[in-house]
Amino acid sequence: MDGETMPNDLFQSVVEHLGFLGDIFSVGIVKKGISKQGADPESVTCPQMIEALDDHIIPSVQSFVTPQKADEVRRKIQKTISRAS
Amino acid sequence: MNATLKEILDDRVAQAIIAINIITSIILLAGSKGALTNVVSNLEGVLVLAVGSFFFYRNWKLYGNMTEGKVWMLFFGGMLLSMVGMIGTTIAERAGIAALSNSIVVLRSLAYVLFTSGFALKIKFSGYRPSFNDTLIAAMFAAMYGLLVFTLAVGPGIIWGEFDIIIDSYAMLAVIEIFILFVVVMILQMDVSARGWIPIAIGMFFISVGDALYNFFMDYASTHGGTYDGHPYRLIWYYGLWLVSFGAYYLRKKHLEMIM
Repeated sequence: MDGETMPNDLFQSVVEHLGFLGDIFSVGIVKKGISKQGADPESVTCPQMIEALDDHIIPSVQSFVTPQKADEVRRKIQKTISRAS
Repeated sequence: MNATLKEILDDRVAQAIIAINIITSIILLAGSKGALTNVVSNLEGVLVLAVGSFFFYRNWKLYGNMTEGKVWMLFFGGMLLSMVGMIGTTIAERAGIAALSNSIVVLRSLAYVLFTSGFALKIKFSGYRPSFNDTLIAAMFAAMYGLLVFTLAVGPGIIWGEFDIIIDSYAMLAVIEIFILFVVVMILQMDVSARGWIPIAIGMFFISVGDALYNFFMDYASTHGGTYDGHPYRLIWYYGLWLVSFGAYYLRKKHLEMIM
């Protein structure tokens, strides 16, 4: 693991929702999104993830899929975040 | 997982295309005539085809059933077709089947349309919002591209009075290239980053000019009972390929930087 700590469950579950993009994109997009909020995969919180979702993750997903599909992904992730909070 | 490392690995295929183009261009430049250039020329075709196929496969797997996936298919499908066309033309020329060779030239031009429009759509999907100056520069290059291709395709024929050659294929080629220009401008709709577009526009121009000049001098030589290998113009074609690859690499990199 190169001395890295484990990402938390919230991070993992959001990454799983983006799994259709492949592991490179799914991890990379979520990681950049939360880093813009000053968070990291190990300690990201629900409010930070919600901010990251609107600010970076969904706009990035929209560069791959239709707006309808991106909305569907957003709803699923929001449901996951609200369950975790 | 280290996203930066993955990003570099993910771009390795694009880097390979650029590297192949640089190396073969240098070899072609060093040995401007003779058997070596023939071997290298055909080898480059095969290598780019192989790398292009691999890229096509990767993107099919990654984007297969998505909207942008279809754009990627257009882009890489066009690239692949143009490579197949290039090799097909060479084979047909060597075999002396002129009709087949001309048909493949047309097919290859259509592949450029697919290639360019696919790429323009790809840029549009990546969501860049250019400044007015960027747009102006892109439009200027697109206009220059169309105008110069037309001039270079038709000009030599007018100068030397070879109207049969013009009518035969070059005017058609120019019309197809100008059609590409319209397709690109329509698709872009002022929604593109000029920095990535410039090498692509110049590259497409080089490809077209190289193609037109190569074909013209080959035909000119054959109708006048001489021979001409046309390699300097093939070299222009390769430089065009290199520039397009660079532009593609740059835009892909920019997209990755934006999202990852």
